[in-house]
Amino acid sequence: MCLSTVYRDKISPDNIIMKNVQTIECSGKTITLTDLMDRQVTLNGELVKASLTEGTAVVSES
Amino acid sequence: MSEHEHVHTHEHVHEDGTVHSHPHTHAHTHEGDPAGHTHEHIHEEGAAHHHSHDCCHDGHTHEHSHDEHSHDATPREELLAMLKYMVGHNASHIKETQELAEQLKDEESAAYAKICEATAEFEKGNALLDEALASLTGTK
Repeated sequence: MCLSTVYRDKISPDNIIMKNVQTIECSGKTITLTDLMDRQVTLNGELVKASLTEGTAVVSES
Repeated sequence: MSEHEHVHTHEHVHEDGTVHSHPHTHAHTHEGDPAGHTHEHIHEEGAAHHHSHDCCHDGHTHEHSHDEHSHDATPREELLAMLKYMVGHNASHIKETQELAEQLKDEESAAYAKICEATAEFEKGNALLDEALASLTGTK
């Protein structure tokens, strides 16, 4: 599996939340992103789409 | 005055609502008022910053206000991590390519030969990346 870039609302360079994301964990409305360096970003929202071939994911924040 | 340091993880909330969590080490002194003090702490990545906070050391909860900070690893650390990841990741793709070739093995077609050749080149390239990683990390 390739590393992914996670975007807020739409795929745009200005909307990048985190690059080189290795895991996306969703628990209720809480989304936790972890990158290759084990840094984490946690946000409240929903996973809208994850393209595993393009290495992209989009989340919407609530 | 007591001086001590400890390692723990806590969350930082940014203006945009993003929450980060990472471990770091505090070295700080208390001057009579354990409930309010200022200290400097150094993150594992080496970035240091100053902030003030109220804390309860029994329950170990922190409320932080940051003037500045960086959670970034050094560019060198990032490069090494990415290179290491790529070598491992390429190895799995090479395996997948070999499996594709296996499916054409019985045909002995030109496509089969080309995929085998491509796989061999892919392996050579990845071996070079692995050598580069080893030279950067001093393991070779």
